[in-house]
Amino acid sequence: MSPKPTRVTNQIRALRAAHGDITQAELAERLGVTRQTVIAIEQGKYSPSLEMAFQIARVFSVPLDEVFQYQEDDAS
Amino acid sequence: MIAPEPRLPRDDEPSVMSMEERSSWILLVFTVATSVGYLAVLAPQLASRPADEVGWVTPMIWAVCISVVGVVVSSIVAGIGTAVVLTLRGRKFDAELQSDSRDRDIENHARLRAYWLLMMVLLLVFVLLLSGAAHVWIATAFYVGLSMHTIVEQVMRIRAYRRGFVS
Repeated sequence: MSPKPTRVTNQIRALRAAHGDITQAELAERLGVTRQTVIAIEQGKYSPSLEMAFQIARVFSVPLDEVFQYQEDDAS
Repeated sequence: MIAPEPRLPRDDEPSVMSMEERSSWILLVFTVATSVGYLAVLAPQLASRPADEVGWVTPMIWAVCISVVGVVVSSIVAGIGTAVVLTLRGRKFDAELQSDSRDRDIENHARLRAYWLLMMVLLLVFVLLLSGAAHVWIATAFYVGLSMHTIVEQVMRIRAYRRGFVS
């Protein structure tokens, strides 16, 4: 499996489950993007814009840092 | 009989390839096929006669026409076919086939990374013009160079769709 290109991790899958099992497609529709984009964000294959990140947090009614976390480099 | 309301896909259903990724595959296939075909027609002539006597215009027009028509027709057929399949499965095809910010980010990402090749092609053509090279070499450098640029750009796009990228 190829390494994820971003250090940004997210809790979208868990938040979807915690909010009544919102499907990827339902979240995508609320964000105005495709399901493929939601899948890519969940898998860490795409970093959304800051605006979309806030939209995602707003859908779940949580602060931004409960949705996205930045993994510090252990070597640095 | 009233058709059921189109529905959104469940998480366990496979997602369809985006229209933009599909277009990249189509463009990649036709660009590779037509530029290889053009070179296959031209190479024997270049090997057997002076450059000024090589008939490059007709093969190039055919290659460009086949590429343009093939990409347009294939994209339309693929788009309609995907929409029909999704509709038959009861899914909302417009929600799954729309373009979004990720598509635009990937397009910009690939365009920026292939830009240097376009500059190299233009520089090469300029040098060939200044050196008074035969038309066949100038035209071929231009055509093959643009094809290479298209191929690199589409490979970058497909790679970004498949492996992910950070803008």
